[in-house]
Amino acid sequence: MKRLAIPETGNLARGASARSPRRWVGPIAVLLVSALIATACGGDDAAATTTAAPTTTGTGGGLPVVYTGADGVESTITDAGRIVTLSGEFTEIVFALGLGGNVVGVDLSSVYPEEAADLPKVGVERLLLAEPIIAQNPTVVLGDVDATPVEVIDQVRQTGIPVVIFPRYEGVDAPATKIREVARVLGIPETGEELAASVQEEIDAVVAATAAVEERPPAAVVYLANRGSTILMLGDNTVMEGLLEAAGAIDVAPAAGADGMMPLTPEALAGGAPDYIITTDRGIDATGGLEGFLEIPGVGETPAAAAGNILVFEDLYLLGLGPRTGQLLRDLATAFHPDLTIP
Amino acid sequence: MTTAPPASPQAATAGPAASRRMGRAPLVALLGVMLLAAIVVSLGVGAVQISPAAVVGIILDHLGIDSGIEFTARQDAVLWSIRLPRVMLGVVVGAGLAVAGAALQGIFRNPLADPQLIGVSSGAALGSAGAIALAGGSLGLLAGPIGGFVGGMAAGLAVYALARHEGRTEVVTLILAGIAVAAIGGAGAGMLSFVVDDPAIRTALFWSLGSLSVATWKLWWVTLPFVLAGLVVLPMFARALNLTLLGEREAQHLGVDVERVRMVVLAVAVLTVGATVAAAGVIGFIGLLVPHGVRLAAGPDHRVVLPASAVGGAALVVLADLAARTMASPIDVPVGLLTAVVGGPLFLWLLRRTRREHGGWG
Repeated sequence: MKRLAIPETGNLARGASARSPRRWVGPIAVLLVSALIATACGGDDAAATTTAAPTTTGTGGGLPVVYTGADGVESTITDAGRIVTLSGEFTEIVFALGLGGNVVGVDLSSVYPEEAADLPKVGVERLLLAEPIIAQNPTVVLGDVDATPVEVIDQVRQTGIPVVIFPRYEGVDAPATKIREVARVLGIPETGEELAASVQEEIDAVVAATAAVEERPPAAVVYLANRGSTILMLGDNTVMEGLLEAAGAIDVAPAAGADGMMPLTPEALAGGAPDYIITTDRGIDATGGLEGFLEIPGVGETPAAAAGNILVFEDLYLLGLGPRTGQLLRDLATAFHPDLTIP
Repeated sequence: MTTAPPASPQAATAGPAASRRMGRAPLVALLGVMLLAAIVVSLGVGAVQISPAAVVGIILDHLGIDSGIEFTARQDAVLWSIRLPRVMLGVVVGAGLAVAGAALQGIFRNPLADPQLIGVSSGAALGSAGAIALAGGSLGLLAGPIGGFVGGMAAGLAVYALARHEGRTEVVTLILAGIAVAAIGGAGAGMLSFVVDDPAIRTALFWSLGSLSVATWKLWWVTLPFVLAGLVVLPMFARALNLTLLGEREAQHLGVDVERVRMVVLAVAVLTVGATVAAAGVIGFIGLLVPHGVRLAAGPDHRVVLPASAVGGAALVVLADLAARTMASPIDVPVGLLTAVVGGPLFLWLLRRTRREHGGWG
């Protein structure tokens, strides 16, 4: 399985862009206390420094673009020379589109690619501040409906900076759609089309290969944002919708009544008896390693635990729905069906 | 410890004899200077660089004076649309919370009666969130403070009714009832923010720990009249509150309609608190910390405590918010975390002292 080391800042990062709207409130309250202590001891951070004049490299010929966001606000993007992203999934897409050099600020969830993790941090979703974003002097800001408080987004817009608010995308078609939309906003629709097509091709290959599979193991995606936060099962109406099916498994969440993110109950897991449990690095870290993870009520009693079928992925890789989703599906399909040949 | 100045309510009768106490004018002036300094520093600090000269230039420019100082349009937007409304909202919220806290302590004759501790703030949070959910469309920004008043009043009356026993207010019951009511209000507001998928409802974190990050001029204008009501009306009852400190029966004999004073002061204080909660969430301990500090410096006379608390509360919230938005930048730390760090220990100390005065809770 693909496992990437998560930098320090990853602990505060954004998780699944799933439906449950307030999933960050608890963990962040806890983490803020540690952030406070860390800051009190640590001193200055680099995020607050103002950077140099705008660069103009990579500004596509497709600009200006007018985009009406999920918040109903129309933004006109005239320059993609200085990009700030408010969510790791957009950071990843911008880098995959070849505009990584134009990114001047990222949110705390931007842990991939590695270059992005070194960029100035402008905040964390739901607790955004306007000034750190504005201080990077961006020409365009990319976020989704979780980029709140909305007043802060308004404040950034008042300084003349366009802020693009994308909707939540879900399911196997989401990566291509998202890539196309981000590329269009940045004025490089052709590059976006190419990347989207290649990602879709990878996804389709897995879907085609698993279509004929008859024995579909039950599987569950278990997500834990931070130590002490609610353990969630991701079902329909989350980023995971349809992904397990595409990889040749049966998602036990819908049968257990999960719509969106559902707090995990031992009954739900035991009832579904998943052969595979899929989770993220951060969840494993938050429970103090695999042993701790298996001690979560209900998890240890599953066939998945007995067979050692706990699949661990980096958070953005599993939940980011982006350029790497084809690879993710391939990983999953190969784990579910070791004998399956995927072209 | 036994030589500590007599700052208890009973000392109100001691009069202005104690010479080490500050008079009203010097204390208010001193706190006013602190407030001004806090505002100036806050306006100059932030992720976007704006020099002190540019700050002055931008403000003069908005007042229609051309100072010749250069600044960019972006600096203008950051200072005028982001930093200034936030600082000014801090002033209004801080003044309102502190003056309301001082007044509540007066009517309940209890130094622990902080709007948050007795459940009024959480009640206001629930009312506010509920009103935004139900009537945000028709009432707009006014839904917050109106709902806050209704919820806060319900909480305040419930706690008051629970704590009244044989014509007096029981200190312990007041606080315990406050805890219960606060739990209900906080849970309700939190639940609403989980259930209703509308960013206008705000997050559970906002309702429980507060934040000034949503400050806009519009929100400031909506909040201001409610807080002004408290700042103007509550000091009018300073004399009545002083007499109430003698004891309810004594005050009654001196011509104070204790019950009426109590209801009017409670309503106005809750109106003030409700508006601050609607604008900035529940920022705890301001109503406890500030009046207490003022009493230590100037004694328990409400004619001093009320106005001085207002100015001091404004300064404290502006400073706390400055820390909230800069110490963990780029994260906006909920300002209530910072006030609780200071306020919590003070509350414990007050609790101990109050118990000693009452000879134990029994």
